[in-house]
Amino acid sequence: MKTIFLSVCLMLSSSVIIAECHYDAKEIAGKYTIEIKDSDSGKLLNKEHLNVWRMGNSVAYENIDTQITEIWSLVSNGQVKPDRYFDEYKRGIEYQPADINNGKGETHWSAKYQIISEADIKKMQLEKTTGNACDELNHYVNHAAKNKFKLAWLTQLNLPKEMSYTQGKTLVTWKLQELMIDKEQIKATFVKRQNYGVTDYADIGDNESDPFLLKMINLGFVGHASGVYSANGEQMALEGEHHH
Amino acid sequence: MNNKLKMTLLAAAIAGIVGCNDSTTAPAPLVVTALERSDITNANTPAVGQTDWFAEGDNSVTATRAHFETIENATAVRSKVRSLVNTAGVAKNIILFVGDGMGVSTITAARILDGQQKNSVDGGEENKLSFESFPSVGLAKTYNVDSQTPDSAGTMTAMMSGVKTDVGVIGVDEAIERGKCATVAGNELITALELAEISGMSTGIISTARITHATPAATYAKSADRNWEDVSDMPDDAIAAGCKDIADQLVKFETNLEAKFSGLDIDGLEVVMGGGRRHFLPKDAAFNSADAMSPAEGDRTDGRDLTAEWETAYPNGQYVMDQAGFDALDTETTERVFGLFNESHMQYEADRANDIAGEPSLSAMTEKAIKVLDNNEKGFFLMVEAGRIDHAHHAGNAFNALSDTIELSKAVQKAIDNTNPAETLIIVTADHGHVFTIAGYPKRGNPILGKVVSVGKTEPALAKDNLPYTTLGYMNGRGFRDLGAETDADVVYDEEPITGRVDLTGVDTTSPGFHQETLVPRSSETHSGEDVAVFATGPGSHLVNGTNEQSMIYHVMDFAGNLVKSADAIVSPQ
Repeated sequence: MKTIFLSVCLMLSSSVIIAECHYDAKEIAGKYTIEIKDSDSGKLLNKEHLNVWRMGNSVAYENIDTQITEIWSLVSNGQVKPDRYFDEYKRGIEYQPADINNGKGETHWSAKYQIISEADIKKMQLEKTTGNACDELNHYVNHAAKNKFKLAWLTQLNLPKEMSYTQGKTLVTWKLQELMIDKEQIKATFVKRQNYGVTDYADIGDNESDPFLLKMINLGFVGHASGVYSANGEQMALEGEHHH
Repeated sequence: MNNKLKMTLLAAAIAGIVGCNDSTTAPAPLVVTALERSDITNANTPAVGQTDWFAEGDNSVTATRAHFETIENATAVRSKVRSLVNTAGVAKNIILFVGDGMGVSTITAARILDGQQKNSVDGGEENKLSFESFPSVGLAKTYNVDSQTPDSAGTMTAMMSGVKTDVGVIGVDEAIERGKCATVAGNELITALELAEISGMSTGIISTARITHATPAATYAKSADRNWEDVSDMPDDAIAAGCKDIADQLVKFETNLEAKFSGLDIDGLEVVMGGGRRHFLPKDAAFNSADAMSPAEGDRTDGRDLTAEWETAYPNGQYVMDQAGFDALDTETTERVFGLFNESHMQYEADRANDIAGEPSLSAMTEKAIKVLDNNEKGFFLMVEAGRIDHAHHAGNAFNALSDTIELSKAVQKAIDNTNPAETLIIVTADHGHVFTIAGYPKRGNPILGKVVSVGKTEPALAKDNLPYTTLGYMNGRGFRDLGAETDADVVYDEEPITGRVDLTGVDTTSPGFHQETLVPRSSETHSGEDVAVFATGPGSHLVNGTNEQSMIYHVMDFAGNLVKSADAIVSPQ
């Protein structure tokens, strides 16, 4: 009996060592592809390339296709401050905290920080755990949500490795293509945008002679693939969840 | 004559109203007149619950006469000979209030909303904002030299310097080329605030916008572009050519002005309060305040901390950045105040409770500023801007525009309450208007933010498209949005414009987050080009009347305070 007990202890100890991940989850980035397919035919309708950069209390969503980068920062009072950068023009628009999502910004930090919110993950059912260390994955599904949500979650990095859900008649699939851990590269991503010329959202009305603002305004303000959100800022992941 | 008119005249003739001089029939009265009234005047005793319009107008004239009599008496003390109209310099203090974007329709709607919020039994229309009781009112033509519809930079430069100029430039005349540093030299204008400073008066500026924003900047800065608020906003060639950013000019106001006049020794601005901390701090998180919203609060790329430079230059001054610091100021012992209460613009008045570290209201800042400034026996010059009326209109949100206008009214009341009317010129005006309308035929007392309900009706009137419509609206902008209880007008900038008609049947249009419908889709609602009202009280206020160029306001202030002559006596001693 004693032998068995020691063996179990050794196994547990060994598994703890194996499960260690040395990546810094607070300074990490992921390259994602987002595919939108017709649910019925499987035909690819759209494909976007999105890099998600995380540094301290800021997270950047760099849309390679639109060349628009949104940086979300957690403010000291718990609100979320969004800034939107137009990489082609090296210009940006700064917003007040909680101005996005109809004043609900403060509730969306974890959704911005890790793409899908902690609260949403807790609503899902864990099917299995695979891998270990930085590759440890929790496989979740949400049978209650009519959008058929599936998630493969990197538990040590707090990032999805893959997730899919239906949206209308389409199937949306996020896939992590590459992890980036170079801290200098991550820092440079944020510093680059901080050096852009920025305009306070409230000053747009006084600056419409600015050619950039005119052009940018025509591009529209609505976010592009910045977390799992609908255009009106509501979370999409558990859309249509059945309440019992 | 058309058939309709013929039929009307025929019917009238048959009824004995028009043209039938039948001697056997007594002619019917042409019109039903107010013959019931007591005598040849229209004075009447109104029924219970009715307004005595006649007496109210008569009382207004009496009050105005009393006002000028008070000033006349003050004038007589100073000079037994000169009359009021010819006496310059009677005003010891000058306060200029600017409601940014506060066009006439904004004043009207704010007046009604204020009355309705006070639960007026008369509907709210009869209400008056504090400055609407001022005895003198005129109109100002707002166009910039190069623009039919103006911006704040050109208009405030006109008001502060007496010279109209181009759109987008600060404290320089029309010979400037916007954005070209080299064109500034030789085209700088001296402002009323600078003249007051030279004259030995205390000086102050307050704004709910960034203190480096166009309107406050035009009191103290000279810039080829209104957007050069800090060094990071400027092109490299402008920096290399020696042009200084607006924040730098604020902190260096004293030394810059002294450098213009040989031997001049002044003591600088006593009161500076507003937003815009970002333009005074380095782009380094180590300089963040407890109120920071951005990872690095400051924008300056030259590494300078202008708040620290100010504190070094004025060791007896108080730098404050939040409500607690503001509350702790002792106005009787404080020599000067530098308050930067927000990283960018201060909050809308209705949204102020959501500020991170807390910030004071416009009326509180005004009261405290006057109590600091009036410690100087030579008097003071104070400019107060309600800067966010303009922003709310740009966002198409009447609620915040009107709420901030009401707060401006309270600030003006603080000025009235804390100054001697015989020696203080108070002017209240706007730099420009907005395309903001009060329309339809709502009944008396209908909620000004509500849907039009016609006279005698209880349900909203329907337009030709069978949909209800609001009394307030915008000609252009981002259009409808129902954001419910949201008190920050700028949330709308994350939404696509919805212009044209929307079914408002189930929408509470009186909620703070309602954004009015619009016709022409634009990224933001625009300024308008019509005249703005100028209200004045105190010495020199009699000069405010008629329709004048906006630049006249400077000349009224100059006359009232004798600013040029007083300053000239300092810089050019005989």
